[in-house]
Amino acid sequence: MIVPAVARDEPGDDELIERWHAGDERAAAAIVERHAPGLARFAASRGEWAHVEELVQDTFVRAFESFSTFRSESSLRTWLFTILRRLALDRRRSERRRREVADAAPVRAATSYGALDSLVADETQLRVEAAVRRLTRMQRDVFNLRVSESLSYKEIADVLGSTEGAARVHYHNALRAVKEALDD
Amino acid sequence: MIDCTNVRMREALPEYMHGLLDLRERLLVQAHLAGCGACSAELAVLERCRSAMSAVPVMDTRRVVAALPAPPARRRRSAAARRPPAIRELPLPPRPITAARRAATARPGGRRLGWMGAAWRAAAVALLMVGSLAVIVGQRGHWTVAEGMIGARSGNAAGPAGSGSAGQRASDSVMLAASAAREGVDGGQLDTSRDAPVLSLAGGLSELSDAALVALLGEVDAMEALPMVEPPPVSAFVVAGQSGAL
Repeated sequence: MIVPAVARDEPGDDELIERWHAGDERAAAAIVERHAPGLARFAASRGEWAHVEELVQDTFVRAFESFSTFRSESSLRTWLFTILRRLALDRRRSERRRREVADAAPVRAATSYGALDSLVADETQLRVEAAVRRLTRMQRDVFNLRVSESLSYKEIADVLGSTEGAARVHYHNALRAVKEALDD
Repeated sequence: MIDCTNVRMREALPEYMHGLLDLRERLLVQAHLAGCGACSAELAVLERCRSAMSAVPVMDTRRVVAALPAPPARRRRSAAARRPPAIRELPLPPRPITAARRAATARPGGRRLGWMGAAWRAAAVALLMVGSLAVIVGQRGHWTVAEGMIGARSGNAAGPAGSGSAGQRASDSVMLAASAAREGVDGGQLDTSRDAPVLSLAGGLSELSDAALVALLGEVDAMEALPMVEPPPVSAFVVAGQSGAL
């Protein structure tokens, strides 16, 4: 197994958490700046385009309120993704109860997504999006976490409440489906 | 295209794409990619996917930061700063022990008993007194309860009353409801010798001397704050074929 290199030039998450506990609010800002983009991408990939900011904010609030229970057994990033996924599931369930649930497919036109992105979205991008959209929910989550966020299978399994082996199988099935869709 | 069989290299492609491999591993993957068309094609697909999925929705992280709770250390400092220094530095005066406080702390949780609790306490004290006298009877012999009225009412609970006399012994017997019910009414008589003590509340009570018991009863009588409330009937009793309620 190839182990990803760890960036040494920036303080680690554990150090930032310690500094925040000691009263350094800039450490909180650093944590948010570091992890918010990935969380936002993950939320968007789950079709939560209209609620990305709300979900990301709730995720950080929940995490910072619970740092006393964070044991560093998993990485902060994995923990944050786990919280966000649970919040998204709760939100989707409550929406379903209210019969307001939208299709899981991202609807960019109705979101705050930048107009420039729509302009530059070329055919390849649209084909990739269409291919990813056809994946099952689990395949899509695994594929996004692996390709966009470079989480390991172990981390993906922690986030999704699955196993490493299952995450690996989902990833390769998703990759094969995307390849086939792009080859068409 | 057929997938590459070098699983290790294939699995490293996402990390390679994100630049997360150390130098040695990165060179290994680069060398593999130079001679593996399948992995090169797969890496191209991954990069297209990553590019397509990399768009970050517009969001204001400052608002996220503003919504976060204050750091614990700052919360503690803020809480301490809100307290007036004079109060913080002065030791708290001892609280006077009042009857109400005594009542509130008498039970776990410190809740006040209320009138129901007071009634039950009165009943318990009455039972204690009856039991104490029963033990005395057990030690001295038998008392007579002629027509079977046991005055176990609160406030004046004092064991056998009515026409009962402490001086009479012999075949006299104390009939308490619980014992009578348990043994069955045998002509209104109970053999207290095999049933003794008729009513006992604690094993240690029988070990007290008469003087100690009298002193204890005196203390119970002297207890303050006992409401003069009649407790609800405890149970039925049968004395010499008569029935009634305590």
